Amino acid sequence: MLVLARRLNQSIIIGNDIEVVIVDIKGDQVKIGIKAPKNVSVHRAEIHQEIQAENIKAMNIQIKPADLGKLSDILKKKPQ
Amino acid sequence: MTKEIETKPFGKMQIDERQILNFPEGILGFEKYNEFALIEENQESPFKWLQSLNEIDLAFIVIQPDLFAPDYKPALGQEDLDLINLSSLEEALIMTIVTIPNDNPQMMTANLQGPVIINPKTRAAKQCISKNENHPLRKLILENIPMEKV
Repeated sequence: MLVLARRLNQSIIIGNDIEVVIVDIKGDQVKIGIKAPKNVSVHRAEIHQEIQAENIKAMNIQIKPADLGKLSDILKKKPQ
Repeated sequence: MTKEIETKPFGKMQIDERQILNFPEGILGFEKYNEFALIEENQESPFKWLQSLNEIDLAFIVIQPDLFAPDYKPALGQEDLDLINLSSLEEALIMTIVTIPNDNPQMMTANLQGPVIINPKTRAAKQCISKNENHPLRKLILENIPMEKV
């Protein structure tokens, strides 16, 4: 991994069109600004991991058809 | 055209080929699986199944979020819409993946942070990440209703 030291308001460029700016530093928290083209997706790494873990949980559901039917009935009665 | 597939909830069944969705990027954590069928639980149920055509155990229960979160509108990036050739979110079919605790099914939740966005015309789909941080990973589906024994 490439490691670069940066100060407040300094930035790095990735490729031709992605800029990462150090916007604020307070204690152990750093605020980072990212300028990237609209077709580049930028997310916190832990969100990806959390969704993956939730997908695995969802895939491992063991529910009897009758119980799913009961949940469906309750949901249909739910006032909007 | 119909096709016979193996499903986790119903065993072997015939589906219409128009029920098959193509996920170019798979689903998060299951990137290699690109083809899923969207199958109704039954005609009356709000639940559907998203069943992988390649791996029988890879199946998710999904639900349309407007049934329990009518104001929900995922904040997507242009890259999400581009991947499945959507010009706007209004054209999309939005489904959310359901997690049901084995010991307490009424506490089932839906993932509003990682919705499944489907282009109904091309049947291309993607699990996107909503950039709105108020969209929870686990939204209680049966919030605000009296508890009944399930």
